[in-house]
Amino acid sequence: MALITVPDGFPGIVGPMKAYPRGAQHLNGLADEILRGSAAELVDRVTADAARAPVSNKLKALLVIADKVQQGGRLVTDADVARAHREGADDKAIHDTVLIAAAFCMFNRYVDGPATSAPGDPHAYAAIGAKLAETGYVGSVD
Amino acid sequence: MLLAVAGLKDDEIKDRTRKLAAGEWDSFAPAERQAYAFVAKLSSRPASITDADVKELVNTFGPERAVDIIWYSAWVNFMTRVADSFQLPLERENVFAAIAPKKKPG
Repeated sequence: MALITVPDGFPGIVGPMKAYPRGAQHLNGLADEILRGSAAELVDRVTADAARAPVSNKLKALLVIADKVQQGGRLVTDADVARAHREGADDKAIHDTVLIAAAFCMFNRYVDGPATSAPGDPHAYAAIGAKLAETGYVGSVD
Repeated sequence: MLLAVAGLKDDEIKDRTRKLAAGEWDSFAPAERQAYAFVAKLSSRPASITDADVKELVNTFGPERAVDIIWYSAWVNFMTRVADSFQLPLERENVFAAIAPKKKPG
């Protein structure tokens, strides 16, 4: 149970977003801008071992950057960016990778900070994903 | 620059950032130290935040200011990662100084 007052029936990040809609509007606008429509398959295999996951070398190079962003942006090196370029990533792909990884460092702290609850059943996320694909992030807490 | 935007003078910013970097928090008020400790934990080990951590924060600051602390520290975790990852040059001066509201005398 969250230790700040959030409305019942809205687990995870939706709870504080419902309680504080002004912040939610900006957070979801950002999420829509950088996330909606991006592929999210193979998550289990990628999170288990991205280097051996059946994804392109370009995506592997971008995942290395994302992993370093999560640990701390200063870990990203010229060599990491050069590798991504060599594997076919353009500047926009590198830019989006950094923004997505950094944004989730923010979103996850926004969830962990007030000790919100989150669905334990992975199937719940499939339903949430389907809704997001249909309505987008901005309308997700309406 | 954020500290300058908050109204701190140059010498106050230098003093505060030096103390924060060195872990010398003794001169800060207890509530400030509590907020710093919470934010440091949330930044470095977010999943380790406990119900007790949040309850203490809410007890000290109230729910809305506690959310402000959480939300703002989460936001800064985003901003610093973007700036550091791209090795963006940072402003050395408060670029908002020219448009800041003038302080009333006295």
